[in-house]
Amino acid sequence: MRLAPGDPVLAMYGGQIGVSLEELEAARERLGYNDPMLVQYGRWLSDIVRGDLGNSVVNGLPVEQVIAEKIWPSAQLAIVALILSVFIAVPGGVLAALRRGSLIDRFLTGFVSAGIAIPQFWLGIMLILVLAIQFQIFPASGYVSPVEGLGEWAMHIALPSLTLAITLAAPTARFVRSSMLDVLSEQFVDVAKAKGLSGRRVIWVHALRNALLPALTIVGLQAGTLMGGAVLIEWVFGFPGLGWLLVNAVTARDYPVLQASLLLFVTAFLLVNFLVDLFYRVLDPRLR
Amino acid sequence: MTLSLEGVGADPVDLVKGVSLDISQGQCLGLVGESGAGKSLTAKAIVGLLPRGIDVTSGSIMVGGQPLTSSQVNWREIRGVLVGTIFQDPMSSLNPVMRIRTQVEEVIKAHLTLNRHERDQRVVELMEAVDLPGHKGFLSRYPHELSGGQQQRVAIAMAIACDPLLLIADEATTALDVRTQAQILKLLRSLVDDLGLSMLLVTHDMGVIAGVSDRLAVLYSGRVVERGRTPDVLSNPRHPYTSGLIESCPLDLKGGFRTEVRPIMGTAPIDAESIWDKCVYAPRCSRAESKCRGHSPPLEDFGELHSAACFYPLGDTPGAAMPEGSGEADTSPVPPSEPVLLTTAARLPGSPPQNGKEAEGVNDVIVQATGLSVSYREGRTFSYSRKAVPAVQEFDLELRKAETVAVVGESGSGKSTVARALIRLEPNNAVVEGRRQILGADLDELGRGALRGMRRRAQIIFQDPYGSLNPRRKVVDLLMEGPRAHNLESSNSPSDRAGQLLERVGLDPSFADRYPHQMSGGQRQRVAIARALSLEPQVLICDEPVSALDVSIQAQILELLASLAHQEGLAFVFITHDLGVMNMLADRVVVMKEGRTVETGMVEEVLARPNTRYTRELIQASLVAI
Repeated sequence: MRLAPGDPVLAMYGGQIGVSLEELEAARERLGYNDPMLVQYGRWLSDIVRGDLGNSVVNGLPVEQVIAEKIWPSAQLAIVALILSVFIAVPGGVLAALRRGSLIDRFLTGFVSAGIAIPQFWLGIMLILVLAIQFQIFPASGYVSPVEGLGEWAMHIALPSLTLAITLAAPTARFVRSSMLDVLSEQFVDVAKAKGLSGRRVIWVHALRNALLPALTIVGLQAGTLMGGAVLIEWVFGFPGLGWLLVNAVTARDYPVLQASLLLFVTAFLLVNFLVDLFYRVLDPRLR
Repeated sequence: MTLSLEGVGADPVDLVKGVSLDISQGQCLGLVGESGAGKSLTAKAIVGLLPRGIDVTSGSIMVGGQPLTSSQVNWREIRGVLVGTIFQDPMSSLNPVMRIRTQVEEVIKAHLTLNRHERDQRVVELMEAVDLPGHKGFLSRYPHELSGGQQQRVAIAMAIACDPLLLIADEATTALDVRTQAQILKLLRSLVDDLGLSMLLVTHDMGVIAGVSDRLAVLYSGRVVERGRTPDVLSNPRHPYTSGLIESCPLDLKGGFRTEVRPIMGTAPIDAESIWDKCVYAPRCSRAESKCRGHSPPLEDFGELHSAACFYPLGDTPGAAMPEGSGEADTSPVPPSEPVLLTTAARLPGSPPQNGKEAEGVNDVIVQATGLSVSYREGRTFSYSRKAVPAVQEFDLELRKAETVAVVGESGSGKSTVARALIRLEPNNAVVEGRRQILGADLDELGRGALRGMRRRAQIIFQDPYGSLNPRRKVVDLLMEGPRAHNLESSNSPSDRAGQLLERVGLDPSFADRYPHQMSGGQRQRVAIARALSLEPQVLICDEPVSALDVSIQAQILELLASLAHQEGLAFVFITHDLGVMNMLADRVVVMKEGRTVETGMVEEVLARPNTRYTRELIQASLVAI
């Protein structure tokens, strides 16, 4: 980022007429952007330790406040998208595994390839084109807080979360399918059948619980990434979340906001994966 | 109750053909055969659990008068109610994430209308029936918290929960330790006797059949080749294959160990397509005539209930198992060889090595371990924890030239750890104390180069012939890699040398161009032995070298190892759980339990007069009597 041309000062005064080079230079000096990189980094670190994330270069507000505003919508988007993706991926993966080689299986394989290959933003734009512009079912952009109206909230969050869910579901579904196939060939599944249990119980109770264990890792990783906001999706849908904030911070060369956001993403990622590991112990008695 | 089953087939190949079995109430029928014979398919066909793509194409299955072959069978009312099934590996038979109470209870829930209290009671009853504690603490355990024997008991409890008519035990004791196996077999037999269950016991192990079943059927390549009352068939086999199976078994089925085995030559056909118009066994049979290759022999009666499918059945003399020249089979890749009779010739007569130590030159000692202890440290993030779990404690061994020492014990006894530690192959987290020497050199004091040189002298053969050969290399490369690495010069070309090695292990030199997947298990194990021999070692350490193989193949490999021991003066350390195998090959034995040596001595001595209770139990559990 620091290698990119431009800096916060230029961005701040960008476009204003009558600002002299001396003024710019003075601003840089005042904000400390002329110090060596390591010194700036050291200063940033020591400020963080003291709980000070600095102020946004753009509007001078404390970074905490800027980020706090955006966390909530991003978290909602992430949770809704994850839940949707699991509801797409698990039944899909299970059905594909049960009817291996069937039409459903081939459809799923196609869906997985497409889900991985299609860029998120393109899918988002297509959904906007079809569902928002052509049929005008959903609004194309924006965000409404659930406090202001649950219906409106759902309408606004539907498209971005659906877009995310589709791309997230693809790898998860593939994982569920393959681990389900593994589990179905295990002896205890035969044993469960030999016990005369209903097919439904064999699959959804005996097999699925074991098959979900490996898939949980994938969902965990995805959740970790999502906590940082879905950068492209939020941008495409004008969704005021962390991702959107990040893109704006980049444009404005808002170093304090940028650095704090990245710090948050990394922390969230580690935290979520830690929680997933703990969750594993709950689900798998062998790890206790 | 009649149960007849005919023709389990996968289009277009018939895997099992014309198999008819019947079991009456309170009886146990043993279905015996080697891998690929179709015994598990037959068993699975009864409960409708055939793998996808395999169907019953003709014939019928009846259990308690109810036909199980029509497509309208409601399997949920058959499985668990009419037929209970127990599978091989107890660990994978149970769902790892469910408590055992839930797993036992769900069978009852699925089939019986009992209230909660009655269900609890039934679970406790079942636990008692399989000799497990029925208290809450035990029932709320997960499968991994139980021992293998307990897991299999839980599996049995699930199978008998709704009082089925028929119990199918598909290799139900194969994965268990010998003492546990004996207990489980006893339990199964008592279920048959006390509850009047009928049982179909599927196994590859003649010893199991002999001990438990009332009647038996021998399956070979998808056909019943012989059937009858168990004592009749075992004492007077009519089909050459049955006789071969019996002779391959390291136990003599009369309550003793054999000192010789007569292996069946060759291997079972893999391609089952074109064998139905002739005797399936003809290619391996020494009695085969042209008629056998042109016609398929029907089952013919030999006395009451006893029948065999052979044009030239074996005679009436009891015990006359194999005719003369039994080693000769025309299509066999294995050269004919005399039955090996292991005598004490190779042993040091009258002088147990411990006493003869001073008299013999020190040079004769090939492997020596003194107070060898191995423990494993648990892995930490950056190092290993200080606390170490002991695996082997105070192990002593002295192995001389041309001597074979067996290390026997059950799983977890530390015998494999010993095998690796003897040649410094232990994993990184192992802590080894004590001394280990090969040819007088202390392995822990040798530098890198010297250790490599010494490793050449001591070669190891592992249990799994599939895992121990690199699948992407040809046999010739596998065999020549060692000599190349050690610069063992020779005027012969690599392929000649590989050919010679292959001949030494009874394989045709043409095998040099094959890849491991193009060979059978027995052939691979031969290649693994040839690979070990390629470095001209003085000691071979064999870690369960035959336990992954079929009985008839196992006998072939045992014969090969015995001849190597006799003819080439090699010393052997033989790690095994099988006392029969031990008895055939070893001069001396070290019995291990939970990492400690419990008994040592000459094999005959130990077998005849075991000094410890543990050894006695092992021997008793191993022996079978009809």
